[in-house]
Amino acid sequence: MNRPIKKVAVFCLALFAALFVNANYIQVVSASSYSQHSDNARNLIYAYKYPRGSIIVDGKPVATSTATTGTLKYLRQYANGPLYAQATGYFSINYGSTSIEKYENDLLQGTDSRLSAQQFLNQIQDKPRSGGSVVLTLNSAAQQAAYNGLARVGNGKEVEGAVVALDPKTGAILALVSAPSYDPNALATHSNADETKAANAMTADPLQPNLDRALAQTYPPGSTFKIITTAAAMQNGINGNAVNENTSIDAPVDVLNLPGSTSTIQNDAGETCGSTVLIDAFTQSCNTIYGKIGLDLGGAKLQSEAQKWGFDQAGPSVPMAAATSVIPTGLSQPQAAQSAIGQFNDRMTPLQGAMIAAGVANGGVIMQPYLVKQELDTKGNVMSTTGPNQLYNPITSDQANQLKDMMVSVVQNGTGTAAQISGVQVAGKTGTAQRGAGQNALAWFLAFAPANDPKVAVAVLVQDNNPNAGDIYGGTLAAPIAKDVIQAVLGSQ
Amino acid sequence: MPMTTLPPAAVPPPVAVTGGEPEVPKRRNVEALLLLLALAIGLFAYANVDQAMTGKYPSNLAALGFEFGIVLLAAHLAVRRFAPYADPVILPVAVMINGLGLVLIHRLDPYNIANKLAPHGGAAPTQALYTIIGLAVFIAVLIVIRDHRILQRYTYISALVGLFLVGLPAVLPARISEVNGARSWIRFGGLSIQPAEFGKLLLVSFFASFLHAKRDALALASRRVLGIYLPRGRDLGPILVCWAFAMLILIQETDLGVSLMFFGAFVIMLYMATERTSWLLFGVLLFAGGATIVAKISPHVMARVDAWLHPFSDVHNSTRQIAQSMYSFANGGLFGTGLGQGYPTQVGFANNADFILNTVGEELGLVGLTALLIAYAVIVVRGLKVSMLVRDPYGKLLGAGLAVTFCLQVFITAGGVMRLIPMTGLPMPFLAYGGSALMANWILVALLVRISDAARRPLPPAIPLSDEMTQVVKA
Repeated sequence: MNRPIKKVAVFCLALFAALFVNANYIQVVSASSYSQHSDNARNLIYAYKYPRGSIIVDGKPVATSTATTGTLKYLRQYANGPLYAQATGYFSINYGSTSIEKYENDLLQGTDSRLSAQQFLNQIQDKPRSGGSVVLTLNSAAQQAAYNGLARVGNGKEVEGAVVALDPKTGAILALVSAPSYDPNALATHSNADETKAANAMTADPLQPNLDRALAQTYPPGSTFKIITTAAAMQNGINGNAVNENTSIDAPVDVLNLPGSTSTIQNDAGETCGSTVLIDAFTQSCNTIYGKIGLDLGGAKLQSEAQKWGFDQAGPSVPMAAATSVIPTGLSQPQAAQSAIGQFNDRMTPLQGAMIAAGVANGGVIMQPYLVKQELDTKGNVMSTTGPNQLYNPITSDQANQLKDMMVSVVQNGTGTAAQISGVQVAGKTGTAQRGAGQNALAWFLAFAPANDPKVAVAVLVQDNNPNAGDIYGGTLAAPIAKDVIQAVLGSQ
Repeated sequence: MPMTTLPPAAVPPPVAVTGGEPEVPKRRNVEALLLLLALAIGLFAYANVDQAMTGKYPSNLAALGFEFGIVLLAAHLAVRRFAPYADPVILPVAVMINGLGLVLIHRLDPYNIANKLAPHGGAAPTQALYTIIGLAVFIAVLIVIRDHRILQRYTYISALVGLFLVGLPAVLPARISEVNGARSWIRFGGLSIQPAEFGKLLLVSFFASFLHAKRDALALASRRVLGIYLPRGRDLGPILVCWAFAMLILIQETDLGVSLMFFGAFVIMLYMATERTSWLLFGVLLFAGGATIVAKISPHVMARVDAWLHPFSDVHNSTRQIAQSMYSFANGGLFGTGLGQGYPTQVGFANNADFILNTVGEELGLVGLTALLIAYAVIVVRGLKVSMLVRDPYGKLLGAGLAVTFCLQVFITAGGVMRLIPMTGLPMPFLAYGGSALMANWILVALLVRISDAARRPLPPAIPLSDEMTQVVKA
């Protein structure tokens, strides 16, 4: 009977061999594909197993991880959540993550390869993994001023809007606000029910707090685009004649008839411009004169100038990728006239607005905007510091100086007087972009200060859809917010 | 390595010329040493788990080590006294697996207590008690059954009681016998036992003596057709009865595992008794055919087969556990997360029973899982080796039958949670939480130890033959 027992022994070992092969298959060969299944809670547990690094503004953490007693070990918390929501983004179980939480995830969760030596040390010392931290370029005072300004502007009603402030010399983002904001804590909660409720409320809100208006949305720039039209005129001349701030433009002061069309361009409230000199037309934001410049230049030159400032280019990554600002191709003459005053189909992001102001402020050089000032390792030592990089150089410093004069004039005697600060020379340009019938205009203000040594360039956009909002002008709604932001930046230095 | 080399006594001892006691190493000291090692492994794992989960070493480590040390000493002394020639490896390996099982159940307790899947004090203290009772039963079997051939006397009683135990849950109302869809339990009061665990021992004993008695008829009376010996129609009776019984278990108890284990053990024992491959073929065809039909008509069996084929098709309901089982093994990878540092509790219900292998795979990794499976294989192989050495055919069949049953149970359970075969409701021997299974497995090991003692025990001195020549008797 021993012979069959021997054979059975071989059979039994074959069964074990099958188990060994199978164990290798599930634990090694297909292990990584199993670990990616969405119902595999281990992904989540591991994501929450260790503390994430902090996100820091002006030396104070605005996003931190605190230990909990639940299955998920660490809760992400945002001090002053709504104020910094656009910059920090959220870190959510069911809705993923956004903004810095998303773009700096490797560093924050500690899996960045630059941290591997420290994590190895942690491991052999039996310490848990920890994350690196991110220091933002934001200026807390400027951020607060921008946030408060947008909250205040609707007279008790929430309005939509955005503020972007840059350091014109470096491109560092000093303020980044989109209104209305939201509380990222509501999305970072570990309670599924609370999280879903918050997300549903956000989706249902007609003012769409989840839109990133500062970076991801484009709007008609209105008269702020006259900065670019001016630059195009200086660059190309008009009808063979060189153009500077004191050039008188051959244009009507009340009504501009558009060729090949029955449409006309008029000034705000049908007013008549007092002067055809370029700086005066700019100061009063004179549509007929700038429409005529558009006609004289033609669409191609206008477009080519705008592209030098960043239009039609992929929006910069700050590291969040900004939307592309656009100026249409193949403009007819009437469309060129409309485009020259920032109407027709011109669209730009508030970030692009801030970059235009910064370009003028910085002698014609637009720096690459950035939000991450420093990356810190797990012990808080600086691992990398973002340096300034030149992004665009649309105009010469001489042209920039003339544009600066014109923008100073806007704040001193023109449409932007609301941005005046005693003792500080502020340069600015208002914009009031008309939209379709039944929609309120958009209020813009681009500014920088101090004019002789710019420390801050800012773009403010206010979109008040309240039908009883009264008259909407960039100079009345947006300029005071820009003033507050400028004062906050200058006051904190 | 004592694990792999066979004692020299494997060959029949040389007949002593002087007529004195022949020298056969008993190897009891090897066993004692291996038992100490098994105890040390268990205690180390226990300390490791508590360190990882609470940051502290368990306060009762020394006390527990002492208590189990006493119990193991008792078992060792019982073997020394009542089975001095026993195989020295089987008992320590079983102790090691049992100890590891205890640690794993303890590791899963916090989750199971919090989720009301274990009693208030945890499942580990209960299982520790079962372990001590199991070892006591082991000792009792060694004392009471001095010769395994005694069991041969109870052939038909074994059959009746075995069938009764295995079949009982099928005829009891579902509220008493059903747990998680499979009706293989008897629950009354706070107790729940799996009678099939005891039934399997009795049925293997019955198969052994029955096949021993009928082997010649089953082996020789056959016709050769197409190179295969086909049994006579009347000899098909036992296998058909056994098949019908297995199918009944499958239908009534919806338990593919128990059914496959019984029928598989029977067919393999039939093969060992008769050496006729045709029985194997016949058995495999019968079972495969029957199981396919049952799978088509039984929704429970069908669901398990579906979950096996498409484990990620319904990850929140019907295939949740097998999917979670896969994730658990996958997370373990090569070296595992370390005891107490994985998430095997994600599988939920039965994490310390049918799915306890998840914890091994996830926290000890492929390396630990392989080591554990090798430990099981050692018991199986030693059991089969012992069966080849033992002299009486009943002992051979009983020993090999027990080893094969054990092997099948390990394969069916491990293969189920590892998705090699459809999931079934068998507990992992010695590892899973459950008193009846633990006791039954300790009886199984006691019987193997008993048979191994008989296998290696030297023959009593031969009675000298007379000098007379053998004569041809003429009629």
